[in-house]
Amino acid sequence: MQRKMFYSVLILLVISIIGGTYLFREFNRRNLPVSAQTPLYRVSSNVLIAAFSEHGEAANKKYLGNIIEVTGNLKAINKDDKGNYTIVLGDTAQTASIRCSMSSDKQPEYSKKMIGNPVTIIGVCTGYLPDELGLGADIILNRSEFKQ
Amino acid sequence: MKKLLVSALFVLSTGLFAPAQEKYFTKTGKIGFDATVPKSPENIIGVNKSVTCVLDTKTGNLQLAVLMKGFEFERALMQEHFNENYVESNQFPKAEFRGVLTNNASVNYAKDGSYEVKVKGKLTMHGSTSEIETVGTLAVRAGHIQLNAIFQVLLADFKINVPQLVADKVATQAKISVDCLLDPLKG
Repeated sequence: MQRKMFYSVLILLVISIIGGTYLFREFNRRNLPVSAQTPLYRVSSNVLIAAFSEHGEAANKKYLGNIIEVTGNLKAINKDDKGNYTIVLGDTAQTASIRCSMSSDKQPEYSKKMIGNPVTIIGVCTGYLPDELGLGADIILNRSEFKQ
Repeated sequence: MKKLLVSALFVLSTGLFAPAQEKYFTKTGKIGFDATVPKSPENIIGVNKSVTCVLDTKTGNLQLAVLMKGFEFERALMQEHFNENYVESNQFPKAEFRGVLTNNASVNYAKDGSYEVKVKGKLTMHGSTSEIETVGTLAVRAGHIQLNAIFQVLLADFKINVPQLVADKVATQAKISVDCLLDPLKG
């Protein structure tokens, strides 16, 4: 009887420790850098822009919240008043762009010489802002990093 | 002498009759979302750094657009809960504000200075629209406009339900902070 009781307490203790550890780790889990993860899709900037502007709903279902790798011409480098960088991909002839909000953890050296050259960026697709304000449509990528 | 006079007149006329900049914008504005209460185990704070904002200085019309998936939280689990259980960002990916500075006439956009502005408009989020009225600060600085505002939104107004289990740990009224540095819109 005592032995049975002992094993029951032991099993409960083990379950509590495993459960507690899992909950603690899950609660404190941080977003992993995108470079540490495998992109779900690899696309060119033109294909991505066409997907969102022509079939928005399908593109949302496919890309929204996922890590994607995008290759395209670097259109502009924007630095905001807080020192955050945004890399803009796309054709200069098009008003639509892909705006990649760069990860503040990994800030490479940005040079204007990069403008016009093809680059590959990995980031989390947060969606599409259509051109409702007269500023051009945008697909936004968060936590972005240059592909090494 | 005549040449000099003509040149001076030309310079003066271009300065006098050049159209004043009317629209200002940014695509890197910041919006903060804070639903922390004293009983929250952690700060429930999310920040979006890719806010699009346009201000028409002539009419005072102000528009902001933001993607809900773009809010970043310190903890991944919090961010997942925010997107999946609260704002349902797959179903409602965008939030927008369309309003007007009701005291726009009191702002002198031609001169550097700081002004208290009253903003009134409609905020659409989670598929619901609600009237917002708040007071913010508008600063004109070296050809740029800095907009700042902090206001509260009642989550129930946007049909965002806080589960009973965490009702005492998540605010029913979230604090929204807006921080946008606007550049003149060329062309």
